[in-house]
Amino acid sequence: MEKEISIEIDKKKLSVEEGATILSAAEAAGIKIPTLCYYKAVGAITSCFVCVVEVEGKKHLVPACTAKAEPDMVITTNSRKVTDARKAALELLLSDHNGDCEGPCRLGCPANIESPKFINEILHRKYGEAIKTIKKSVALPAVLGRICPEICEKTCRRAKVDQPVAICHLRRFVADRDLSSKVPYHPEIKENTGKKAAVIGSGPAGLSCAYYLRQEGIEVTVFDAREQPGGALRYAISKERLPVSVLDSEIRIIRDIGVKFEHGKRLGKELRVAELLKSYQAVFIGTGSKEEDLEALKTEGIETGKNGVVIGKETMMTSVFGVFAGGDCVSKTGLAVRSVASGRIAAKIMVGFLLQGTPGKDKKLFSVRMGPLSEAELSEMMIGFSSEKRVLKNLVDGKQIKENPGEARKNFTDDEALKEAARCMRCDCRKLRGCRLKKISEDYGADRLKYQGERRKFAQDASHPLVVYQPGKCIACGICVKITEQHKDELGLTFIGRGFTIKMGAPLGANMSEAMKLVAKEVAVRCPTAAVTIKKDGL
Amino acid sequence: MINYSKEKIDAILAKYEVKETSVIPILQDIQKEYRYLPKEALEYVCSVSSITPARITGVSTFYTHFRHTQVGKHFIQVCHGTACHVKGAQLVTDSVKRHLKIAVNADTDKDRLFTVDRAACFGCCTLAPVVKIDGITYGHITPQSVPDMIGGFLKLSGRQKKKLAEKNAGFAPGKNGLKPVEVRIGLGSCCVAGGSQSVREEVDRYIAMSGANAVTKRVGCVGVCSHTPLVEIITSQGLSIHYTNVKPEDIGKIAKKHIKPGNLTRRLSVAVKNITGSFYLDDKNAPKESGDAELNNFLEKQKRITLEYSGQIDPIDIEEYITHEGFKALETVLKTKECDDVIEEIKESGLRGRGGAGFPTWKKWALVSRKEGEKYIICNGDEGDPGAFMDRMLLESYPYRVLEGMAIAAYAIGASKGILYIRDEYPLAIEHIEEAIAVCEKRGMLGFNLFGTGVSLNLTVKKGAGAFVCGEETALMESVEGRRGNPRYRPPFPAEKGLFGKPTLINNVETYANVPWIMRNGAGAFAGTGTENSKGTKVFALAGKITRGGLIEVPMGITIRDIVENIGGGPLKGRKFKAVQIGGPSGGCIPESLADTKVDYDRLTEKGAIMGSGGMVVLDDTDCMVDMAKYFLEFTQDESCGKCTFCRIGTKRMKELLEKFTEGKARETDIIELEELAVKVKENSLCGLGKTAPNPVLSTLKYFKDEYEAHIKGKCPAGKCKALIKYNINDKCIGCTLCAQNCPGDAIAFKPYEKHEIDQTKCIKCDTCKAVCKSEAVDRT
Repeated sequence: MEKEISIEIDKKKLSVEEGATILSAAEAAGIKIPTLCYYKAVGAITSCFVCVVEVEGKKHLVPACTAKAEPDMVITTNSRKVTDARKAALELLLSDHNGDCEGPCRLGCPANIESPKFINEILHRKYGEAIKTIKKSVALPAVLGRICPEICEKTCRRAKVDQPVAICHLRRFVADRDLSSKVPYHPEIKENTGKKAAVIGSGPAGLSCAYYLRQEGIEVTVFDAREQPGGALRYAISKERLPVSVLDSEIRIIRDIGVKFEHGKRLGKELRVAELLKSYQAVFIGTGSKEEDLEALKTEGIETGKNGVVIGKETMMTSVFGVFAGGDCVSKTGLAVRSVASGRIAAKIMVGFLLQGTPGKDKKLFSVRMGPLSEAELSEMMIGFSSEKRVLKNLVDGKQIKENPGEARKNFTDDEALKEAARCMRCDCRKLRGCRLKKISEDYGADRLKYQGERRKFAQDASHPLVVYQPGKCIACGICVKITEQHKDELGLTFIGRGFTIKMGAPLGANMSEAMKLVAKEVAVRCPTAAVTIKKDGL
Repeated sequence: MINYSKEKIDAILAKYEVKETSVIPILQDIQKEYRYLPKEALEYVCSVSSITPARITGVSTFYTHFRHTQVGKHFIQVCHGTACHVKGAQLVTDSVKRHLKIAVNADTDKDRLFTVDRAACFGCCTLAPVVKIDGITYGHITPQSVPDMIGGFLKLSGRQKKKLAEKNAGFAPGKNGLKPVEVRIGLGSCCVAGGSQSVREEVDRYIAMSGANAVTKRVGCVGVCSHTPLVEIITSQGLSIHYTNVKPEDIGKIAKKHIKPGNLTRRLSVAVKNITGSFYLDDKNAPKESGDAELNNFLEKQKRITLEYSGQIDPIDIEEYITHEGFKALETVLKTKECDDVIEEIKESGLRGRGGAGFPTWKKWALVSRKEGEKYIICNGDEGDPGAFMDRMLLESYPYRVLEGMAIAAYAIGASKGILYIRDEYPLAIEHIEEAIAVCEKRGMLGFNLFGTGVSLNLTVKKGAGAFVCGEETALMESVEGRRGNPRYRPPFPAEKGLFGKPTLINNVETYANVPWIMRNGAGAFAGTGTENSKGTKVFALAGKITRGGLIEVPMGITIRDIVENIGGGPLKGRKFKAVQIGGPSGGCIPESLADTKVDYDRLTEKGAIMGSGGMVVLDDTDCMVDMAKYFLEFTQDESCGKCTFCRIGTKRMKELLEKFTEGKARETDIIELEELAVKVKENSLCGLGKTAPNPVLSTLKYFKDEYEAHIKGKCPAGKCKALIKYNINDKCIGCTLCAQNCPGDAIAFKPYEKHEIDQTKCIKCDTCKAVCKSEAVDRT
């Protein structure tokens, strides 16, 4: 079988061994073709059709994992037709995918804090990990833990079972615990890039922007008109709700990582944008929505509209090149969590601008969403989670309260936090970071809502000590069936039914723990989605 | 609870040598015993054989004939083939369920007396709508006749039921030395379903009682399937008279005319003058004389190659087959021709595969013949297209011809083992083929040492178990090997790596049935008929909204109009011919405006249909084209094996989009969405099922876009889509109360001599009021 044949892939002339598939030929030539249902050890299955390529002279597209390279074949892997077909395959799969990638709480949070993750870290007493997780999204979690209106809890799925998980208070628990520790968490700072950025305003948007810019090795100076940093957090919120000490502790960390602060600098007076641009390559405006500030911005040549500063939707750049804006000065919400998010996103965009010359992209979180579940589905989903009532009551001094009361609400003890964390139903996907369907869908810009229709119900089989099976996420590729066959697992897995309602399952009504005695781990690892996942994955 | 017997299961298992590949027949046997598959029985099978639980579960849940829960005492199957669909199968199903008080989402009544199920096409399309109860076929059922049907069924004694469900066997010998009068009774499935069994019993009874010198003889399908049962009398002088729509009570009259008791037989000849014979065609169900013109129209345009000697020979009588030139071709080939000569002859004949795609037959043969070692030959009799029944009829009526064709092919390619894969819905076809194989083997025409030439061919029958996709050649082979019918990627083609990995020739029933004729009459004679690239004839199952339906064999190149108007006698009275659906779920609708298109592989494909296996369903102005597209998508979506993304989910989404149209919820953009998705599914599927599933959508979008647009505006021009229609009673109402009496939804108040009214909130749109009204007082808008 040493005979070689010559083929052409994407205009590259190649010589490949006779009998090789198009996929392996492309791989050898360094051309990447996405696959879902392909796992070398069990052979090609030809189910997902994500690997299709165009072959000259063939009417239909061809699955690269299965089709063999033939002499003088001319193959295209990146034509419009190919990418459209792959995208459509992904969109069809997504239309029948019943599982959330991200938990509803994360999607509901304006700052997209990965709450399921940090809550799970609390559950495993990994507080150091938890604060890291939180601070990936917000620079001021202890502050937010006191003043945030708990938007995430309104989307929490647990609310449909009994009461939402006390996500906001758990976040405060982690943040407070960190601040009171000997060495609070300081993010890693990348090597200095030599680039400088100025931030105008030290409110939630400015502080957040500075915090994330600095982490990327950018020298940041925050300018503020007042004597102390914090903006509205310090001057507009009652001290009872948000003690100054908490704010100061979190700002201290921002200072610690090298952000400089200059106070008493009023825009239009001591501070001129044009001047700043001479020594700073980028400027962020986070002045807030006070009328005088907006007036000052106008005189600085920055265009404003009826909502505030006008910025590019994707670039966040103002009418002045190199000047970005975010937070309440762009659109007033009065929500610190939104400003904090806006500052972080601006930082990401500015880093791209500073280092690559083009504004960085803030990708919207990709996530399939299950949407509301039926009662039966909810109880199925609750399996394995604490059925205890919410530990935190929305009561202060016995009085029912609507809003986050801040400091007046007593912090969780470790035990309470643990108990509350155990109530989280882990709506997020166990394979959030390893799911190939998600990864390729993101790569191809697949729209999860392109095709809509009947979708499978949520169900799961958690009988196995090692793995969980959620059929709603199965793409019917059959890799698991082949693995159990190959390893001669006594019962093994099989396809049940056919057509749209086909599903993978254990034969003769058995469960997963009976079906997989030998191969559960390999099945979980090789499953291209999160249909079968390792129980403790992601911890 | 143990609800099976180990002994019985052991006995079933003992019948099969290699257990894994015999999973399907083993399961079929178990189900035959228990009417479903008891889980404990399956566990027992796994514990005592090499069959794994994974395989048994995978296979038994793939094929729809296998049931995992107990069914009611009686099993009602409503056929949902194309012809039945256009003639109201859904309304019949609704009516059955209503009558038995079965909830919409349930299938069994609360006394567990009846289980109702949708069935794939029974291939009795000319009797549409068709219902089977415990294997007894009821044709021309309407929602209104359902109670009578069920009532009648319940009145039957156990013995009657059994008799009716079984097929007849054997026939009475002649009396005296005189050549007896022959009473030929069509016993193809259509005729049996039409009641030919009881007609035959009546004739037998008459002969026994009168001592007349006459015999009954079963014959295969004659093709006039819309007027069954068909009886032909052959007098001692060889004269022939046909009767159609014969009922047992008509026998007295007919017999009196032609079969004289005892020695009076001779007087018979006087009564018969018409030598050519005549059909008595009538839509009212009584035998009545009518002119020869109709018969001529029906037969004149046809040319019979695969249906040669139609209605003249007993399907199972090998002597008759032999006297009609049977096995002459095989013997000549075996004794005088080289393999290559045979292939050359087929090449010159221009024969193309009759199963659908039209691949040149000789090419397949040549590819396999070049391979070394063990080879297989397969006859694809998994005719799953709803609306097609040619293969059933060929297998039932001409089993020897199919076997002879297969044997010639096997010789040409050098195969000594073969399989006929036949749908389980065709019990009579299976019975006839099995019997024919046994007879042939006994006489050295099959099996070991054919005609003493040293050539051997062992043929066996494998029954399908309810999976349309198994008509796809690679899926069929998976099924024969005892697995789920998932198609394989080609290449390698079966000619290279087929059944059990061996080179395999697989052709359709009709293709093989052409072969003996070609070998006997020469390639030239065959190629003399047809068009440039489509030679010979094609058998079609003509059904739907047409005056005369049935099985026809026409020369290639005939126009669709010719078939519909001349052979089929045109649309039903007062209706307008709108389109023909050709090729079933893989095909498309050709509009009346293109009816002059010739029947030819390439012309049909050009127009968006395909030759397919030959279902031809005529549609009229009461048929909604969006509904047709939805019907086929429902079918393919149901039949998708579920392996590939585009077919599994894509066809489902297409079906859902079509539902938006039929429910009046679609928007302008949905047309584009539908078309785009259809093209994607077509381009990105592994097998023929997925690749062709969008055809019904694409062809109706091409020719009937206006109907899609009308649905967006909330109108169903044909008045078919329930969500978009309304029933009202007009001023012609004479207050006869028929509608009120028959309304199953109590939507019409009983008001004698007054104009009736329909309560729209209660109306279930079952069409009953319109059907029973004698004054045309019910409007459907």
